[in-house]
Amino acid sequence: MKIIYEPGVSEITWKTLKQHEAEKAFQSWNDEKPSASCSGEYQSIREDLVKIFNDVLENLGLEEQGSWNKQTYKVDMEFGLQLYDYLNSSSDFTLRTASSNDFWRYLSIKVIPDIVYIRSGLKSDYFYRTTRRIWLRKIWWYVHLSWQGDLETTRDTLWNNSTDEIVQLVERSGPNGYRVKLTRELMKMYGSLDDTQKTRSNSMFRSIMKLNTVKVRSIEPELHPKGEEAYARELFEYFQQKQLQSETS
Amino acid sequence: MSISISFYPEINDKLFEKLGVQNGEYHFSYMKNRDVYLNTQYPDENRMRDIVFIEDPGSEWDVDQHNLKIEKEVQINNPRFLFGSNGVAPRSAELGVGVIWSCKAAGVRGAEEIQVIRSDSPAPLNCNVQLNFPKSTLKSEIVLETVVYIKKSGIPEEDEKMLGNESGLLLGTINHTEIILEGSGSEFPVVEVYEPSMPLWWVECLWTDPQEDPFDEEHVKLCINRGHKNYKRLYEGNVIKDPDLFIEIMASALEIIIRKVKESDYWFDIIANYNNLPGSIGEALYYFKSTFNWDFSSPENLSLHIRQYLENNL
Repeated sequence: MKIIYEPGVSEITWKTLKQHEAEKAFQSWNDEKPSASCSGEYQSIREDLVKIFNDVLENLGLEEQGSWNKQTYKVDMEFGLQLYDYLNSSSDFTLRTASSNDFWRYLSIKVIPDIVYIRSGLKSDYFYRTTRRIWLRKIWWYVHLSWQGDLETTRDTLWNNSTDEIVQLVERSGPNGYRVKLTRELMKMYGSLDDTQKTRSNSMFRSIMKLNTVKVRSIEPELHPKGEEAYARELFEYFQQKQLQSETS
Repeated sequence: MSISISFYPEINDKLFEKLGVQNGEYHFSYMKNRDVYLNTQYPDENRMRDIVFIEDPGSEWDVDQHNLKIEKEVQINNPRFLFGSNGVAPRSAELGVGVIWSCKAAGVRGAEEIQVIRSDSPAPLNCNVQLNFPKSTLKSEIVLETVVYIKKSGIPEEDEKMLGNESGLLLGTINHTEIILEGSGSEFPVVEVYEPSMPLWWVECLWTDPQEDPFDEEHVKLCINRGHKNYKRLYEGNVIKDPDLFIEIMASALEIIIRKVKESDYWFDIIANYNNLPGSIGEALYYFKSTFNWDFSSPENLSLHIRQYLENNL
């Protein structure tokens, strides 16, 4: 017998949508706001996700139609956290599901296209086209790669970031998959910096991810003799020293 | 496309030979009240890069429902050659043998240390690779790389100054294996579509970097049109009704893909198998060249070789 979590998703066989099917559905919207096209268990998933999204907006004091300005990141982060919590509450949702682009396409095009539309307008990349940019996929993986053991600690870690950190973390994965232990260490360290350290160098995280991309060609972080934590600390120390040098020179 | 230049010596073919690396058989098992062993299949002994298939005689193992334990022994007969001015690390350094695993389809990777080597370690050195993946964490295929790296820096002698000595530095790969977990590994991506106003078939080339993007339907595909009047000449149910027509379509599709890649800047690296990622379009093309001996030098030779191969093998 499977445990049914509440709130959350009960036993389910996840549906998928191939890229060409997604493209066809997307084109059929004729540049208008899309509406959902799902039934059965997916209808209740939709109701849950719409409620979660509306709660996120309400808690942030935002309107659906209004301008979010700098709050866009907060929507991505908070809805990402809630989506992660919601999907992961189903025992049928696994890493295999999360790595299926066609699963995210189904969710984006058939179940909550109106929510994706509110966030991004009719940008095909966010719905189905460019896998790393499918919005729901991107915010789920952002939370997964930053996970600190529970929702609250993860939220604290991510609170002061921006949409650029999401892009850098999720899209700069390296071609053969994410080093999850390393990304969680990096996010923990980055999250522990105070705001002045971050604002002194707006692109610090981007630079760290770039340096990491170069460094992993010759050093595998998990084989670092002192572990991936030491590897991550070395990346940060390198930039902090560089900042100090540029400030004193 | 990226080019990496190493500033320190790495394990090359000559050193690899001197080391006398012997890769043992793979053993796969899963837990179902007790350890249940799976069969290992080596489809092509002659390939430069090992490919291994897992076969379950009981047809029960499911990567979604069961764990996967991977075991293998690697023996290094003369580890001392790794050290000193003719090797890759100072004699006083401590090396590690590790395994880096990556599962691109599941989007994850990791690494584990399996053995420590010192210049006075007894020979031969046996390294036991042992990995255990929980259920539902792997997908499609997993790549294992056995690597040697610097675990602890040494104090280099005068003749060892040019050697790598930074902790964690990778010094080379002594084994590379792709383990196919699901499917046949590299099926030609054929999709059926319904477009009454379109021709019977066409090819879509959707890749951005053929050396990185996988040989799958997201990046390249042959579309067969169910909405075309001649579709029923080709298929009846799921059975190919006209194999000659099907071979002609496959051959033309492959020609288009190869010629399209050939027009790009990636071509020379692809056919030299330099920087082709496992499972990529580039690797598939290199495989066609190296294993099937397809001649890419001219359109007529390419067309001839593809058809000869398909007619004899499909």
